[in-house]
Amino acid sequence: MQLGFLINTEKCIGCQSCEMACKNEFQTDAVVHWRRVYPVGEKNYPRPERIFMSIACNHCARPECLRVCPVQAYTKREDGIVVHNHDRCIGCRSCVMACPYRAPQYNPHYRKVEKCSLCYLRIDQGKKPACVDACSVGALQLIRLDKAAVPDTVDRMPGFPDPSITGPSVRFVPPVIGTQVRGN
Amino acid sequence: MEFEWPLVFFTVLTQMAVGAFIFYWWSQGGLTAYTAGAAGGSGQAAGGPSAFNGGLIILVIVQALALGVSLLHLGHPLNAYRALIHLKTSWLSREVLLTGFFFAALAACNFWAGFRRRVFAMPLTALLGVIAIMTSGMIYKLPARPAWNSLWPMVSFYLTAWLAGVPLGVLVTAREISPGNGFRQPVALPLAAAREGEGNLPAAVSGSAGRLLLGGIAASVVLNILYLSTLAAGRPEAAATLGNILVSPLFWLRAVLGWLLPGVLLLIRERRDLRGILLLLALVVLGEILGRAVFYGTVVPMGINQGM
Repeated sequence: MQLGFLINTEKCIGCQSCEMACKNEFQTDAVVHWRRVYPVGEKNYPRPERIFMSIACNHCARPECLRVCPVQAYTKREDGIVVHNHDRCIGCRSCVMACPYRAPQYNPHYRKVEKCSLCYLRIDQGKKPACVDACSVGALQLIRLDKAAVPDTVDRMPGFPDPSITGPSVRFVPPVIGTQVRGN
Repeated sequence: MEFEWPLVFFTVLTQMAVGAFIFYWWSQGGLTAYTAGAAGGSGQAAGGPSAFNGGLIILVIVQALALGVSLLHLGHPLNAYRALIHLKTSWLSREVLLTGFFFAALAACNFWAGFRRRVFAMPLTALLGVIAIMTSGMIYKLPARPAWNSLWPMVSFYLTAWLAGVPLGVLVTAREISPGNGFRQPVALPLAAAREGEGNLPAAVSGSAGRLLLGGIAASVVLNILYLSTLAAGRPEAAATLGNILVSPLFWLRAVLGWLLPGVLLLIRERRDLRGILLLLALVVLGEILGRAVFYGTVVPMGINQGM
């Protein structure tokens, strides 16, 4: 089983409710952002579009953080969630260097790294992750990736690092780019 | 830009110690210990320096300093021992283990003399040092850092061992030759002159250490140019790294202090005096430290919207 995120770029309005819900849920320090909302550059499409990507840890199929961590602070659960053990971490920042998505972040207050846990404690209680719960437009969803391919989705977006490196458990509903019917 | 100074000093000092040790080992005959004299039996009779005669202590101090400084990189230095537990996949775990082994073997070399030192301890220490540098280089071979995702980190680390190791190795060797005299005894870069009168100079050492250092500088310049040209043709993050390197004043300072000046000094005349060797050592080490700071400080990692 592999849990992951589905990001519907057609629905996302960039309101950052997911970011705030994550910070509220875990009371994270100001300097770390387990989830971030990124704009997708307009120049990537033939027509100007305002598109956003809400990205946290992608709980990859082949996590680089888990491979490079010298203290085995990372484990991958049976449901595919990559969990970081804060107690084991010694703050060497190897995972920070190795993650293409900059998901693990160094917190100078604790002198340790931290990252999104996909709210596994909430999931174990049958709840949705805090960010998914907070999305007012339904743009962020929790999905299972071990089944058949998720229809009408893609695994890459402009500005999103090459997914072939770590196999991120995230899928995107790409934007529908309109056609210009009226000349200037 | 994060220059990662603890890592800069840890890597440069460790590589310098490995390079200097290999130079020293080579000056003592290197692998010829297996062919000449080894059959002569064990103990002091086989010739070579006695235990605790000075030179290697310098390298033990340099390596101890390197290990101490490396702890400053960690958020929780007192828990550094935990870094040994993920040898299966983590190159950092392997680096910690191998660097620790190299340090232990280096220290052990001081306790042995003669046959055991030349035939067992010194080749083992050199091998551990070479492997330790390899593990160190592999840490940085990361797809998330396209400018590093090649054998270049390892190659550049071996270049540091070559460049910084030779002048330090000369000092270590010179101190071994004249124990008790410290460095007051004049030493010569062509080691043949330094070891005059001993009569047991291995043929392999008769070449000039000066030429060795000059060759190292030439290799470093050529390989760095090749590396920079590969960055230009690489992924957007690699090309951005090249831009950062070329506009970094530290890179150009390194080029002058670490390559140009030592090269000119070596070409003008042979450095036979202690002052000249110390000057070369200071310039080359400073150059390597600046180069390593550029290595850490200019790399552009992958990230969302990075390189767009």
